[in-house]
Amino acid sequence: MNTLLDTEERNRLRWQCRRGLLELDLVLERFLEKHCNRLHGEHLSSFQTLLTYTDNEIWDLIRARTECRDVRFAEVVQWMRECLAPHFDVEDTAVGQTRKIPDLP
Amino acid sequence: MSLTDPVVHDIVLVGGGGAGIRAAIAAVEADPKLTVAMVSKVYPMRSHTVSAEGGAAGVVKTENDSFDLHAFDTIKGSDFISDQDAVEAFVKEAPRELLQLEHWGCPWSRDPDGRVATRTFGGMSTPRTLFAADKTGFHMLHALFQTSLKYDRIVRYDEQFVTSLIVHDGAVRGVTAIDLHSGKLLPIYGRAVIICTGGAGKVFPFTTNASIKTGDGMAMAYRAGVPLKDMEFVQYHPTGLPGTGILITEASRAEGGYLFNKEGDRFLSNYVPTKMELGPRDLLSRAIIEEMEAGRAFEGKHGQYVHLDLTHLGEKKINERLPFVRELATKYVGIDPVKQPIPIRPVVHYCMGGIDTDINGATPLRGLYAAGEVACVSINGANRLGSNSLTECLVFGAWAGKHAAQYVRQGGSDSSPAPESIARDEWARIERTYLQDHKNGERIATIRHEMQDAMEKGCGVYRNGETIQAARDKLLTLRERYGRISIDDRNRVFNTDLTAAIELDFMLDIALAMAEGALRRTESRGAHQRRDHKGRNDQQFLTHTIAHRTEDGPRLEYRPATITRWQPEERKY
Ligand SMILES: Cc1cc2nc3c(=O)[nH]c(=O)nc-3n(C[C@H](O)[C@H](O)[C@H](O)COP(=O)(O)OP(=O)(O)OC[C@H]3O[C@@H](n4cnc5c(N)ncnc54)[C@H](O)[C@@H]3O)c2cc1C
Repeated sequence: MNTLLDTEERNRLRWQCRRGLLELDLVLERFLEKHCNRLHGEHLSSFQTLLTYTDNEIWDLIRARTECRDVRFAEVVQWMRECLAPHFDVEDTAVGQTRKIPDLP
Repeated sequence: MSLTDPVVHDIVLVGGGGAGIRAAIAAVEADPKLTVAMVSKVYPMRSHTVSAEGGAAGVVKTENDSFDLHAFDTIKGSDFISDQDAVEAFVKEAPRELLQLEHWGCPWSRDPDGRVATRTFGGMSTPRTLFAADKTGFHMLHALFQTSLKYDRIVRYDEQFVTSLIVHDGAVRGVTAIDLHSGKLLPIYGRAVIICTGGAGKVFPFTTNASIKTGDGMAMAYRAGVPLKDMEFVQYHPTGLPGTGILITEASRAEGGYLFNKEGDRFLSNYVPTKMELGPRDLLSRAIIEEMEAGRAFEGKHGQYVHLDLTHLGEKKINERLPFVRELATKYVGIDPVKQPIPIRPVVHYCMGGIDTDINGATPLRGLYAAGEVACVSINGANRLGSNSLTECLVFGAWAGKHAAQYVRQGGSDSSPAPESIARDEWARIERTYLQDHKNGERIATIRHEMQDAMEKGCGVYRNGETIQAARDKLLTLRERYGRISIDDRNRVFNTDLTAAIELDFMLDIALAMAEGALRRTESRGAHQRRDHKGRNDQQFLTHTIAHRTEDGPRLEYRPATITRWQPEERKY
């Protein structure tokens, strides 16, 4: 396989993962970190096709508001969904605390 | 040689977001003969405009609303340094633009009686924000994009990264753009240029903005001698998710959400007692920071935070009215707001400042226009009201397009063609600045990180002379270190190292203009709050900050804000 082309393709994917939605930036960044180096064949072309969708279409697929009609994409969509993990550890000191709601003027 | 054959159009438009596409349509509608090059670094439908959920403001129901009321809310929100003539023109044009957008296919949400639905946004005294489900920006951009496709005179140049303006004989003649597909530099000539490249939130580490918002157009204009206006005013949104910056929409407070500190107090009663959670963004952000400083906030891995509590609204209402918020909180912080409060903290959201333009979008450089978040007309002054900016993209995008077309019809900037050497020189600059191989050179990511850190420390919600000065000094050092950057990737095609280097170069200029503006404005107004200069100083600072770029850093001057009918008063809610 032509290595130059590989770098180019990786760069192209990286650019096309820059989106208008911050939510997508975060998921796609993780996706690239995890999967970029082993994407090829069907998976690669599915991912390339998915990136041509609008931000909201991709986002709806990732958060399972819609399902992909094309079953060939299912596996890649599933990998994307797995990249939507919390970025936050709850160290919540307030669970169970009584809230005070003042009288409003 | 890494230049491709130039292309020529009547107008060159940089940016395919809400403001850009609106400008393109207005230009071709104004003159049936001219062609517009619409140049965008990402596909237009991937522009940041798609992320707006909340809505677009305009007086569409007159029972409890009027142009004067919308104008007053905007002016008061701006802490009295918006230009009142611009605000008056804006509010009058807004409903026409919102209706026009509906004709182009934007599905505004409806009330049960069939009328357009409206909601209240912070600082607006009546419900006047139209929305299209929870995807307002997406629907707006989609309607604009589909409409633009009807005009074959709007010629798209997608995935073309604009690096500079071509200026000759005191007028703008076009732009240079890296064609990301080939890696070559494409000169695009025109008789007028419109910049609609959006904001610059990425100058800060913690922001609601996606990674493409790097202020490119502001920096390009600034380098071409066009001043930047009011750069010190950067809006923090009070409710971002710690760790990511993802925005929890203001609708969560409009629907009845409460903010609590660690002690279980609904602390806003001490800050904005009449509006509480519906107070304007700057006041709420400040209140949260004060709670943090007083030790009344929670400590987490990503710093301090307070609670946005929706639990009392119940599962049914949350599912019906705020499904998106439930989803984001569950997915990004692992908390279900039906059962637990959501951790939130203030997050950088919007740049009030930008390229200095007049009401028509014209800049001081002949032939150059700007509109949208990149521009500063100014209707936003020291603090923008939520939902005014989508409408601003429409109103001022349309005016910039129309006036650029008029300028071209009257001859435009074409008395003598720009010499080809300008584009060649630009390529030489790119090679020299970004592609040189420095042994053990500076890393882009390191400088970016240090810049963002300096901006957060020095130009955050609260500032003081010392912290701003420290940030400014740091930025000057970073600017110097930037001269020794080294990037690994030498490929031509989609070289993301190169684009990251150029974006950082742009951001360093912008950050410095922000810090300099903040340092010299020795008062507190709207989003600019100085601990060492509390309160407004209308005697001295009822003015716009105008920053000119010089080799020694920004040179500032001040221009009085235009006051028509509303005299400054204390901004209380
Ligand atoms: C999360 C979020 C929610 C928001 N919600 C609302 C809301 O509810 N209501 C509201 O009124 N406002 C909202 N805003 C603000 C509003 O969305 C933006 O101010 C507005 O969409 C900006 O539009 P624009 O057309 O100016 O720029 P953008 O939509 O950012 O478009 C910029 C364009 O410029 C192009 N570009 C940039 N640099 C270059 C370059 N170097 N070369 C070529 N092309 C370039 C990009 O490709 C893009 O097409 C929100 C903002 C955020 C972050």
